[in-house]
Amino acid sequence: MLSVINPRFECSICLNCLKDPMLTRCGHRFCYECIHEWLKRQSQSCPIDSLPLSIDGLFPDNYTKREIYEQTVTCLNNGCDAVVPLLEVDEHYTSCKFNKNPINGISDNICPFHLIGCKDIVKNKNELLNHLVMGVHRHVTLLSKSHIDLMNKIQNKDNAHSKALEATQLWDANKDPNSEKALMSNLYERIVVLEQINIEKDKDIERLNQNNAMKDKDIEQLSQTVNNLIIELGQTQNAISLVTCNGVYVWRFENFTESLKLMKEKPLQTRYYTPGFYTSSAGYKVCGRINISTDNRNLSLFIHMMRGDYDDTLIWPFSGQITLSLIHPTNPIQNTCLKMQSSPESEAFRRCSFGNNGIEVPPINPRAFGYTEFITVDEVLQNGYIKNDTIVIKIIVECI
Amino acid sequence: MNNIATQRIKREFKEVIKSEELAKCSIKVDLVGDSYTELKGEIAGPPDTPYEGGKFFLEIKVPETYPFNPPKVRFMTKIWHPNISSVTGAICLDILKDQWAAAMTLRTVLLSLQALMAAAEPDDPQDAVVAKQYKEYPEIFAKTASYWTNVYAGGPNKNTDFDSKIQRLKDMGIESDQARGALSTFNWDLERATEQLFS
Repeated sequence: MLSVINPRFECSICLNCLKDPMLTRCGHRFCYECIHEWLKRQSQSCPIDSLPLSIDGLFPDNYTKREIYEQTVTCLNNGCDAVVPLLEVDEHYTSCKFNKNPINGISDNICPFHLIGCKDIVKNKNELLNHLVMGVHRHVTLLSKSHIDLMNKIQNKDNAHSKALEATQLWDANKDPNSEKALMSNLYERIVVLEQINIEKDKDIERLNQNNAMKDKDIEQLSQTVNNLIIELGQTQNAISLVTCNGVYVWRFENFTESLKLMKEKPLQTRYYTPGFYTSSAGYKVCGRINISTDNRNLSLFIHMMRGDYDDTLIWPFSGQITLSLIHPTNPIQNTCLKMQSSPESEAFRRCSFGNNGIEVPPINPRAFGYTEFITVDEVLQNGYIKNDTIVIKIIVECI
Repeated sequence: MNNIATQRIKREFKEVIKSEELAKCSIKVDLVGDSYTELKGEIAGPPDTPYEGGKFFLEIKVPETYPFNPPKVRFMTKIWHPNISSVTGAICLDILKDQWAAAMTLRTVLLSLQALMAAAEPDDPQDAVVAKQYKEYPEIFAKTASYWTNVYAGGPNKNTDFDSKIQRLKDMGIESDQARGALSTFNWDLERATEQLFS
């Protein structure tokens, strides 16, 4: 019985599984013995492609050797379920109990007493018959000899067996499979096994808990990230609205009472600004400013030109119309609205850029344009402009 | 026989039995006895050659040193071919001599022989007489080879002209194989063949 070998592991010389594989310079594998034998006998060439080859051109292929060691095959004989290493297949097949032994069958040219030592060879059925008739005496002798051998073997086995039996009885004399002790010991074994399983399960649970904790942490981190992103998104939206507002900014000035108090305390230092907003996308960047007049009686409202991203592409000085309104929360008629035109002479409408000496000018034009006395503080307080401690100022900046 | 040679022949035997060529009835290997030292090969004459339709048997002897030395192969079926002796069946093929390589198998040998039958090499002849005829009288060569295939290998092409010439020699008491050999050698010139046989 021969096995089928993966061609990668086959030696082309013996057609067997590679034994101590050697790799040639030209990339072929052979058994160590096969290729050495070949090079010893024949011309110095590779058996496969005939390229020049000497013993110097051989290297042990230990990678393939390891691979072969890992290969196993199942015996193909009916009834045998042995799994043997690839390298030992042939040894297995020569000794496999399940081999169909041709010698046991009826054969024309083998003496049926072959198994007990008759070494005569016959050529055909007639010779075999002749041999059987002539060799009765010899065959009987062989039979009795093998019988005696067999008896001896059995006796030896029996002796060995009874000794082993005696030894086990001495070792645990009380062992009776039906006794309570046996039951106890069985139960005890079972408990040990279960405890073992229990411990393993505990370990599993611990590991799962740890995993869970790690997951929780991850989730926390993720929610943090999401929050940050939401905040960023809000900021971005604000920034976008400042660019796309087309020069209209509605300023909800909150905490008016508190701010007014601060402005009154330090009228020069305390100024409130809107964020910079654009007159159009790619337009001028401006911002609004509120503070109290030096006499502490009026609110001043101004706009400042700021340094914007598109200043290079625009015409300077800024030319346009600015509308400043204080919105009455309930009665539109009471809205205080003032319009003014830009004046090209005013410093306030110049481009806010780098100074002459490379000194960077702040991103806001220091000169503002607007009204120092936009509305009196008393008017604001008495005419109901404040709602929820908030006043609303609308600034419209239009280019012309 | 040593273990490696036997093992290998056993494996090769399986290989040939499983091969496509066997399915196409193109090549075949049989055991002679149980020893695996001697085998019987069979090659079908390749198509579009004078050997087409013939079955050629080979004697294959596997040496102890196989596969380190080539098997000894000889045509048992008589054949008219420049590289095969018309008398002994000995073959002149490099892979059966110095060009043998251990990775070659019975299958590759038989296929190489089949290829040799389809493409003779008259410049490296085994049988000088056949080689000369092959070069000088290719038509006579083809007819002779085809005739031999018919007589010895069961090929389909009969040749009554050749038959009658042989009969003439047989009438003079010459054995038919001898008569066929002589006539083939002398390009079917009855006079010269007779002259040679009786000189």
